[in-house]
Amino acid sequence: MILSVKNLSIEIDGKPAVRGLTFYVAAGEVLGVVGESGCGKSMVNMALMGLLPDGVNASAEQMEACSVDLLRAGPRDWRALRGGKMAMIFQNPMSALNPCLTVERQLKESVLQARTGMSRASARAEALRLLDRVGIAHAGARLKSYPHELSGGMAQRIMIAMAVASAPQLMIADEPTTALDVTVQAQILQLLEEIRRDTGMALILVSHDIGVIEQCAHRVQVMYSGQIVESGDVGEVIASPCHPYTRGLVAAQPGRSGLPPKSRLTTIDGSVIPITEEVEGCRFRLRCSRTDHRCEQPQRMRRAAANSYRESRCHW
Amino acid sequence: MQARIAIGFRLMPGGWGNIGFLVLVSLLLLGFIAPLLLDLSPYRISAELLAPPSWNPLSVPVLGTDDLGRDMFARLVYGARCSLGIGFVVVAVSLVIGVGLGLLAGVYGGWLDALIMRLVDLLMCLPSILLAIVIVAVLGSGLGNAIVAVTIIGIPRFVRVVRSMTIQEMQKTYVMAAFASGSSRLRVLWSEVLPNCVPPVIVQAALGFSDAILEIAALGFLGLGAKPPVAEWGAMLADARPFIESHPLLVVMPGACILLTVLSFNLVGDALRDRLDPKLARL
Repeated sequence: MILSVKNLSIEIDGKPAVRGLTFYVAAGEVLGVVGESGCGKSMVNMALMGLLPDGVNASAEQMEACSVDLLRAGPRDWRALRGGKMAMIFQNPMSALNPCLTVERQLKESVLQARTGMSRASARAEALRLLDRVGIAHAGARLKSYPHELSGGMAQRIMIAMAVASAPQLMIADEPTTALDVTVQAQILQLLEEIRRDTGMALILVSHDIGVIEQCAHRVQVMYSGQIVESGDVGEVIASPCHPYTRGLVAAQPGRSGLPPKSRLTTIDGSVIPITEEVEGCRFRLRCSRTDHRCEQPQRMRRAAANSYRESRCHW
Repeated sequence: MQARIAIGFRLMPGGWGNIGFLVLVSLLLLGFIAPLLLDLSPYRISAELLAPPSWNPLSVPVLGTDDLGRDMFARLVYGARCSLGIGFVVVAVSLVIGVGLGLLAGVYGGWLDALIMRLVDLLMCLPSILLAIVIVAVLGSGLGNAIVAVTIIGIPRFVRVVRSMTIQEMQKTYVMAAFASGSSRLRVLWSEVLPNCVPPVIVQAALGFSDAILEIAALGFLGLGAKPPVAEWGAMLADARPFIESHPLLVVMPGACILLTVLSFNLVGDALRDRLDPKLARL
């Protein structure tokens, strides 16, 4: 396992936000994470990178990435891990690049971070190679550009180049295509897939678009309000969702609900409860169309069938 | 070659700032080149005391002599050298200290931030010239101590600007991205945050220049800065005070020099702010 997390809980100012997350990622695997805004996806990523802001604390029974115990890692270990075996790319590529510096300086910085002792000239050559790798034409000219001169897709490619500079074993992509238009989105996803295939790194792909996850991921876990509500093989989960929330997400996709074209899109009623709010029983109960007395009990993850790693947090 | 010229034009702050910029460049040339070409001495005493200005560029004391028979033009030229040189040193030193403290306060926060900012508040709550007098009184008068005093007074403006920029920048995604790629805090400060603080710091430096020159002149005038033989505009003003009725030009000339320099720096500073301040973005 590249990453295994057991009972990860995150508290914001002492209030529980993410509750008991248990999941793993195998080498070379793509794990898709879906869920609406504010369900704690990004916070989990930050916890995995050790970048939680002040006042937000993570605790877990076990948290291990690239055979480093993250619970016991000191600042030095974290830095080695972040610039080395783990990398992260962000939602909005335009704001993830420093507006004052040229692409060359930023890319070289990443390269030198990954390989200390490399000469400036070979760092530049490596930067060129990386730009070439992520499919940027005229790499030499692009090195001289400032971020405002780039398109969103190009900026995201450069972010990816910076992330793969250290040949990571695990990459966390936090909604890498949300800020991009659809054609560019497909190209970026394809690029990530190519790099994953070439290098054998594992990828955690976070998105709130279940269609993106379906295209790219091997396994998926659906998050709702700080919990994993369903996990399993992408095909199976989307074809026959067990949890009512997953069912809602799948049905809410245009063209998926079985309704005639141009009819109103399906929605999930209500809105997501604040992540720090305590709820008795199932956290989805208030929006669920199918509740009974059992839903007032806290729900645990149940296996959908024996010999299957498919799990759902619903008793139905 | 054309690119060179284009860069030259980009250095010009634009609008009224251009006029200020040209005045400053000519003052610099006058102060640092003129003494090399002409036989000027601010201390040489001629027989003719209080000679009126001839306004004839070919006659030797162009602007006349002062009460000790020293060439006024030479003294003004050396005064320009003194003021601009001191202004530069003061701004450079207070910039380095101020930017450093601002970065520390912005990044580490907590008690360090509180300590630095309360010290800055302390410096800012007193009128600057009063504070300079206090510092000089403690250290003893003299040009060197006056420079130290004015430098200390120049620090707060940089600390405040850089601290607020740093706090803003630390929230940005690219800082997070830099942390995520394994940069240490110091490295993030140096290569991500600092470059973004440069524009407002340039503006503050230009405005700081004019304040420094004004304060050095004020201290000189009060007899706390440059001591009599030194050609410094403020001290010249003070020396000429007894003759304000009989020979007003002796006071007017150094006064006009101070006015012109400070005004030019302010014009340049304002023009730079219009150009560089993101909050006044071109609408």
